[in-house]
Amino acid sequence: MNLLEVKNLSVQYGSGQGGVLAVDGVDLSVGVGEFVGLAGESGCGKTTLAMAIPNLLPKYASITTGTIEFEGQDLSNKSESELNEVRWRDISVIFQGALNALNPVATIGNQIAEPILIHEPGTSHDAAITRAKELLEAVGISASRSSSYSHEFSGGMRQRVMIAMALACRPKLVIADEPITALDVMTQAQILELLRSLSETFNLSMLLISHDLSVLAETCDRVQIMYAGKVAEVGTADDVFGEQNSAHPYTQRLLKSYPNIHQERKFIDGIPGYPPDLSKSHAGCRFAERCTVSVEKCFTDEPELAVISELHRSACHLVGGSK
Amino acid sequence: MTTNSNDFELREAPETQLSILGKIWQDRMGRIGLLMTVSVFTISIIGPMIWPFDPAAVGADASSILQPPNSQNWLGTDELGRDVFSQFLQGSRVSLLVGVTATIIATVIGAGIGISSGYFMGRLDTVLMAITDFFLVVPSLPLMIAMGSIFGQNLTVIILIIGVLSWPRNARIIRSQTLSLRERKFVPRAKSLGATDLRIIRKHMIPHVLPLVVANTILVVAGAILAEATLAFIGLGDPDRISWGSMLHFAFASGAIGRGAWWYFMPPGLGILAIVLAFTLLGHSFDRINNPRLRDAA
Repeated sequence: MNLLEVKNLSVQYGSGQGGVLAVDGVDLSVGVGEFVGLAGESGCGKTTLAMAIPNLLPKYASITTGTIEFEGQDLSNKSESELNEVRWRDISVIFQGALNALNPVATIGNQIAEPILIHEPGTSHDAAITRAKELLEAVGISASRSSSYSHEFSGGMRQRVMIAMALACRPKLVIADEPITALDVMTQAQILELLRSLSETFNLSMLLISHDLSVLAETCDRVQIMYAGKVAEVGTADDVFGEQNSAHPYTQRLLKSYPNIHQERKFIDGIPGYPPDLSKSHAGCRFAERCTVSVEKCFTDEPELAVISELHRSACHLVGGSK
Repeated sequence: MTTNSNDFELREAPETQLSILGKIWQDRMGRIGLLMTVSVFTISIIGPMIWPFDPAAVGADASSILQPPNSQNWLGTDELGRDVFSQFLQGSRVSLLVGVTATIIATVIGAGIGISSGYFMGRLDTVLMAITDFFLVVPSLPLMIAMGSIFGQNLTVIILIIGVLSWPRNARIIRSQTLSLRERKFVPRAKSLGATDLRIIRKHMIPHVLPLVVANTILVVAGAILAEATLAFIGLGDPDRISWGSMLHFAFASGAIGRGAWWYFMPPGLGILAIVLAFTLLGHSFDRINNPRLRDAA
């Protein structure tokens, strides 16, 4: 059984006429110990999907359909206090823009200890600080720094602190929302390596959100490509990113948008146009207007996820035959 | 790549090593304010203990009335032959007592209303700010006079009246700061950790607004001392206690000003001036230390 099984999830911002369906009938699964990547353009629903799992959505967002099964129990209709039992103890989050998510006037140790003190009420302050120090060591920062403040840390170190904070209550699943954005390439590599090694020590599963495909290709077991609130393609990193393997025109175009160091130097292809307006309803494939290979059917019928191989699925009329 | 983290070991940062008092001492305005405040406190605590005359002891005969300063009564005597200097020393206690306690009341109310209004927003904010605006625009002196004459003239009542009328500015300032703080990313982070509102306020809001609270508090002290002196001067002070305001009141009532008995009305007047100036200097200096934008302005 998978650790996390999201089925047919829809999330809407606002309501009624002006509502925006940011996530529209999406499935997502994360197995035990698995690294799953979530990729796509800005505004295609990656963060919304991820934040819907522990229900950390803003007030004006609501889950309209679907189930979120974590270890067999549905999180989508749990109350706030029931969710608080799950958050951090089972599912924790490394937030987007983590560099600003630290309180400048509280010590690092106290901030890492905060989830421990909240979720394990019996813990004494000293014990929590001791664990915070162990966590700091685990992410490669000297325990003596636990009494420092965030302005005394570099960007990479603050990101490590955020990771330590996410691990504080020994969760089973960590949702990392753009954990390496705004870091330089060297630091990115270190952080990714750290996440990988920590997942082995702590036996973690990870949902990694990024728009950097090369990062996902390198770290993830499976990758899910989102477009305009829908799943475009899902499969192993090799299925999705492999040279001849990617089965959705959107993925292919995304991959072409990155320079390839093995090829001769040339201008990279972007994808002209913009993702569609999600506040309007759509007939047909949402990528059709920007797609270079679209046919008439693409504008009228909505493609469903078609099975390509055991783990590989793609939502396109032109692949996978029948549909 | 793991632990060469000792490279990150904290270096001594001279700027942060200075305590807040040290920083105030570095500031000229602050140094004067600090010296004045400390001396006023010292005088009011030690003064009455060592000065031999009872401020309430009436003179033995007519010759001891309104005596100019002499070797025995350093600041002369009043219209009843009482020693002015011992009244002056005793009076400083009331001024400080009212100033500090009324300010504590004002700060607790102001910070409480400001933080809860800014943090919870919505309907609570509307209601609390409507109340704040009401107290902000009501002319406080006439209100103090009215309340003073209704609730009677003793020190506790006076402290309460001044405290209850001095918080609105604090509440407004702290609310604005809280409004901006609650949008900082560490607040939703703490919330998603499962932190309760109370915990967020305690751990994440209060430490941030504290410097602002302190800077305002010091300025409120000066206002509260003036308010007490004003009430006492117009005769609404505690009749059982000598304060600088009541000394001025009796000096005025007994015609000391007309008779040129400067030793009677000058000391309390200058005392009030000094103590208000001391707290104002200290408050502005503290404000300047906490608000870097003001640092080079003066």
